Amino acid sequence: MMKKFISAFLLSCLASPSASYAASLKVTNAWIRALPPGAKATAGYLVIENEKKQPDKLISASTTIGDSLEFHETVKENGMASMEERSQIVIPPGKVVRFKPGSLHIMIMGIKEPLKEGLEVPILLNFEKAGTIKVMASIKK
Amino acid sequence: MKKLLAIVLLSMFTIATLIILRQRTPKFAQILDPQISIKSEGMKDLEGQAVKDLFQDRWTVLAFGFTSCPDICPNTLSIFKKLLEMGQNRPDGIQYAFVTIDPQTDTTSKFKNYLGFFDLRIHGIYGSPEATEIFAKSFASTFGKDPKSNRLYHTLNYFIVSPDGKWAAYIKPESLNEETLMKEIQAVKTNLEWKGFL
Repeated sequence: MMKKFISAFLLSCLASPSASYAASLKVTNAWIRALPPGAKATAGYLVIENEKKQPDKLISASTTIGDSLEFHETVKENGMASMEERSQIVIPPGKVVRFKPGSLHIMIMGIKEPLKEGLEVPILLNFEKAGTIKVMASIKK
Repeated sequence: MKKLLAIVLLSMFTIATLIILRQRTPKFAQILDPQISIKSEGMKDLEGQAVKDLFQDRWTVLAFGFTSCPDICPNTLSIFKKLLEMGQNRPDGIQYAFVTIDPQTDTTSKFKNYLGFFDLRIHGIYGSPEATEIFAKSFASTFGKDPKSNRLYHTLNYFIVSPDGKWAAYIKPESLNEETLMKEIQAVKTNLEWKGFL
């Protein structure tokens, strides 16, 4: 009994640092834009909330439906829109970073599967401190 | 006596019109005074109709973009779809159009397929690169390719064309939701229709 308790206690000690890191970043509202068959690229959107006191950085992402993912920002200048790549995204402490249409987005290139509305696909987000966080993104128009 | 009554009625009508105009002044849309002629030679919709005829006798909201644009353009088209759905319950005589700035890549079949994915009622407009450039210039707009990144850039604004086929107003759609956009488009329409009476 005691042995079991100790091992459970030790396990929880081991598990807690990573668990708290994972809990420090909340990723919600993930979705991917549905596009007609033949589309070469689409955009993914989500919300990242950093509840920790330290900043973190989103350094890369991957998904099963596309070959390569990049972070892009639609930049508006003099009423014109163009896209710029961002190599990494800083998530400041206590702040919420929103990937949304017309702004920051995950550019998904080399689409491998039809972007069918209603499907749910995983996106793996790699953070500098929090490690990898997996979210399910729904495909919608 | 009749004259006095006529004067009273006329001034009441003018005041009422002015009140309506004041109430229906758009908050975000910019109305152009005077309206500007559009150079649409060589521009057609996907049914083969000349743009000049497409614009005639209807209010049109139009945006520029291209089919391989992953962020802004699909967003514009899904907004247009929602605006069309909102207009369905109360027919408003407003049509929506999307102009490709990349006519060499956006073949008619590709363009039709792309627009149909969102809403078949959205009119696809295309022309030669030269005709498209002249067309965009009539809306004081431009587009092109960034030589560094090789990415296309284009205007974000929604342009409102009056039933005379002239550029009447524009809206910067940024951060406006569909309800606000619809109110703005309606406000432009009412404002310009009532101005015609004065």
